[in-house]
Amino acid sequence: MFLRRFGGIAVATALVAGCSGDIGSEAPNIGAPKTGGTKVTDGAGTEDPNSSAATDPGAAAVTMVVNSDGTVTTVHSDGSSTTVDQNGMVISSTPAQVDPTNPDAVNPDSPAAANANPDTATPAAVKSRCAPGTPQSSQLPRLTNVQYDNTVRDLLNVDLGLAASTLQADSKGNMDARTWKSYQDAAKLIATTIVSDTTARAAVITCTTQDAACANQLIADFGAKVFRRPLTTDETTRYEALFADTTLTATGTFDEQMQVVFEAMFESPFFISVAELSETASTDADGNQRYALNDYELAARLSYMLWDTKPDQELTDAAAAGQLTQGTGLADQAKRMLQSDRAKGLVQRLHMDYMRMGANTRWTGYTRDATKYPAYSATQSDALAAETLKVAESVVFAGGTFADLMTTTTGFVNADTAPLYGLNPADYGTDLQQVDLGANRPGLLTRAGFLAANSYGNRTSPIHRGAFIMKDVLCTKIGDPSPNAASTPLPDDPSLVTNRQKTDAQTAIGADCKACHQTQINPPGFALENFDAVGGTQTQDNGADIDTTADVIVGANTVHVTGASDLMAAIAAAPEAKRCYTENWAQIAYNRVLSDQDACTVDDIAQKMADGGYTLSQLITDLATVESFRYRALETTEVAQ
Amino acid sequence: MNRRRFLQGAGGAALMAPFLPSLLPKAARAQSAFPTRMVMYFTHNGCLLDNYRKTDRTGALDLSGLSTFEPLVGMEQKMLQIRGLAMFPRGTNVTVGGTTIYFDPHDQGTGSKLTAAYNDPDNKWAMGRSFDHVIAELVNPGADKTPLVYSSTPVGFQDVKTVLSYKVAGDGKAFTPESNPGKIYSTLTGLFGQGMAAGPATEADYQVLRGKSILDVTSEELKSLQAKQAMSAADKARLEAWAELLLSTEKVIVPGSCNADAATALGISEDSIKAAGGTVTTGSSSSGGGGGFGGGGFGGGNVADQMNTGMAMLQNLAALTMICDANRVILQHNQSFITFDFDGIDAPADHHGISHRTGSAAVGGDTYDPEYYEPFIKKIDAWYGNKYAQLVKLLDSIPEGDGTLLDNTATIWLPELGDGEQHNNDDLPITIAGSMGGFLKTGQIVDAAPPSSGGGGGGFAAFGSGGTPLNKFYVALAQGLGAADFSEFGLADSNDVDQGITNPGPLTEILTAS
Repeated sequence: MFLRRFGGIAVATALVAGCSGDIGSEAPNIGAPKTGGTKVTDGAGTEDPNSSAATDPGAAAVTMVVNSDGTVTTVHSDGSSTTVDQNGMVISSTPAQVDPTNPDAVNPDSPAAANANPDTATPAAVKSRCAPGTPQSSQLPRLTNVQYDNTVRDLLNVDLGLAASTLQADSKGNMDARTWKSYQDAAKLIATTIVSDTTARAAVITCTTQDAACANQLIADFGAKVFRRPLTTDETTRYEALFADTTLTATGTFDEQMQVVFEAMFESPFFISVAELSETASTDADGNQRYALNDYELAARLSYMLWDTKPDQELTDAAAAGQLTQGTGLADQAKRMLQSDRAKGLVQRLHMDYMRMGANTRWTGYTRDATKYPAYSATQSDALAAETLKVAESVVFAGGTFADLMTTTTGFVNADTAPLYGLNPADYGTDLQQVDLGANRPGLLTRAGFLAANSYGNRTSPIHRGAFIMKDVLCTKIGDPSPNAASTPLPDDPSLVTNRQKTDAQTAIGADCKACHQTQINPPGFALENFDAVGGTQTQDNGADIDTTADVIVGANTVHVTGASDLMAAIAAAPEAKRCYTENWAQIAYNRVLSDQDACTVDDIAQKMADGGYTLSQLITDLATVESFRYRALETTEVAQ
Repeated sequence: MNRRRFLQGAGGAALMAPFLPSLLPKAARAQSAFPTRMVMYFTHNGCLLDNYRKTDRTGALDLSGLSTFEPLVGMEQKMLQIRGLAMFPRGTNVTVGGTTIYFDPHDQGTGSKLTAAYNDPDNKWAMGRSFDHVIAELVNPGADKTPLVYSSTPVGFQDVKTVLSYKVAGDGKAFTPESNPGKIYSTLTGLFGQGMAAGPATEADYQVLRGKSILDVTSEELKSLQAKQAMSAADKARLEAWAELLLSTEKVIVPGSCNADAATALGISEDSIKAAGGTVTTGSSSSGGGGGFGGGGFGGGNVADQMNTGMAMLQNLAALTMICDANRVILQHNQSFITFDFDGIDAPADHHGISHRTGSAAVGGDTYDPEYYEPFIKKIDAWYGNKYAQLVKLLDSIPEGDGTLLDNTATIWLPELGDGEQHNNDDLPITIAGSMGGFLKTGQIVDAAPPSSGGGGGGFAAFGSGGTPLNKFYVALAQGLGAADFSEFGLADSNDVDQGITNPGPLTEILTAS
């Protein structure tokens, strides 16, 4: 989980990046976890030529113009142009101006001809590594600790918090002695709780007469919930025999005997692992071998992906009726489940990862100069992080699109954070309250949380803000910082007044610094200079007017922006940003390092997003219903990873 | 009236009671009502310290990544490692009667180990009684106050370098370990039906039985998974690893009662002893083969059998001894000059020679080749680690009260030397499993002393000059065994024997009460 967390840390340290090539849109993070500033490698650890830039940003081939009505017109290198609205919907287009005798050549009369680079004149901003087939996966993935706790909570109606008290940290690969012991200990605690805790007992032991018949019923019914499928005859026989063996307990009572049964069920590999055992083999269109998941296996995959817990009764019933392998049954359930509050966890997790939030990140534990920023308080950071997640939720669950995420004016403030947005704290309480922050605060990246986190104590950090946008929002590949880059001081030249001027000079020292910073990293950061180090609005810096104009490289295009609104509109419309966001989703939803086969799923969804009008809830539903979700392929590695 | 009938008659409250107590951490329990015991597992020739312990001198014990302790990863909460303990007198030069006398480091290493005494300058034997005899005399039940000292290899205990146990001080005689399991067995059969754990089954007994039955179910389920065809090699490896864990967990399930059933469950019977070449003595008659496993013992028999089958039988007998409370002081002496040409080790020389990295008793010279010999040492260390783990897990599989035999025992891995090449006796690598009923700390590494503190030098450049005397460790063990007034042990706690004991009292750092 959080496979890209290191990327976030690397960004945080990329104060002054060196640029030793490798500029451009980054290919999907396929085959290896992404680490900030490192080259994308394939599974064998060799550098992947496909992952390098598709275009040379130094000779950007196309232009993008943000129109006064918020629409964005992109002029492609082949001379075609497309205008999209703020939702990414295409509202007009003009055809390519192509020489029919030489389709690769750019028409010299086209608007893009002036700066087109014929070597990179391809409309594809990102080269994909899509390899057809079904992603390989273990048939025996163990529950994550979060899933374990949630599942037990839903079975017992009691939250035992075993992840914190008993279980070992999440791990894949072979079971080790310590992990196995922790599962045994946890199973004992669960079994004891069922018979001794009133709430748990009422949730599990539903028979009125507690006898062998009741036990058999519990083994069948509760067992099916624990195993997430009906028990086989052999399994039922084993558990019934366990109940009947009264030599195992001192009293031989129903409770003691059932306690043994419960302990065994929770030690079972069918509880600890979300086993996918169906062996219905087939080949896909490309001749690759694969196995179809059965209804119960699909239910478990879906539920653990969307809710991090076991299937609920409705999903189980749908599985029992065979509906998940038929027609729209799986999608219908995914849509239903997305409407539940339980899906909030997934959405939060995704956006925490996307925004690089959480413990030991820039989002926590920072302090700001309270004299310079009177609106700052040391307790704001938690509320600002919460606001960011609530904004994301509000977009996802209201049928919003990626463009909405980048342009929404919705915010959430309390008395502590209201001053940052120029609001009167007296109008708010301790709880976050939804507000409309207006057109000058478009999207997640202009919320105070992101802006304050990516700042210093007494000034903003255009470098951190810009590097985040380039690397984590646009998936642009940027080289590692030069050695000691972080210790490069701001120049003390008195002629340099604003933070922008100082940063500009700071990053113009060497050719390496300059190459990346001044063309790639700094510009999007400069466009956000109207927001100070605590996320408040500023129009002047050190007594001088702030300049927020910048030429920002967005994929294969260079976009001239006049400030945050332009920048966010450009990001909202950028296929690179949509693909980057999709890739984050796939990693979080599937909880694995993405494979070449996953790249195909990312491609397909990214294309749908680029086509416009594609909601984020549809994105999640698609991840849960695509073919690669409904099939499994055998791992080809010999050793458990 | 059996326990079940009693509980059924006691009514609903008792019937409803879940077996919660077994889930409570050990520390939360009252002091055990069962006897406390000590088992020393002694090995010669030092070890590769980096595989035995981590660099941390304090904190939570974590055995992961240590090849010597691989089988015990996961049991750290019941274990303790101690740093900073040093044996006295030690090294090569010891001052006795104002005169400095030279001793061979192996002579002094074993001679002092359990005696804290110097060796006789003439005949080399230790001049003090060993701790096993001293404390057994104080704490053992019954008339026989002799500790149980055993070795799976029956010869080699006539040289001071290989003698650890001294019943009488300075009589020039070794106390020979028992290698014939039949003799140990015969001392126990008369106790069957007695013993501390005899009587109605306890909750711990049921817990063990339940554990086995549940593991049987889990095992069947894993088998059903392993039968799947469309499964990757990686998933099959996962299942295999899981199944292995189950096997190690359910290896021995023994009811904690002193009777023939317990012996049978441990694989101990007259037939099994005779079949293995042992001699069984019952009453005035005896039958069977030679003395000890392998038909002649070390030097004449099959050492691999002695070290495997024989050692396992002797460890089982040690466990039965505890169940029957026949002895509270047990010493397993693993002999020094074993050539590990079995169990895949294929060592080219005996353990001692390999420990010198020369293949012989020679130190240095042309044959010195640590790169060649150290992989063998690593394997030998892991082999001894496995046998120690075998003993620890055996004791932990046998219920006693609401815990196990292990919980009420200090199962101590005590070495002759620290690093085998250095032949040092400071900062000794010492590991304990079990807490003597909560008397000892567990789950930790405890630093008994800063590396440079205390004590006197040993006259050998490679030896550290300090460390807290091992004497204090023995005092702590004696108190844990019930000898509350025991305050000092040995002839000296420095290399100047004339000073006697200068630092009495127990090693408080390892006591939970400290």
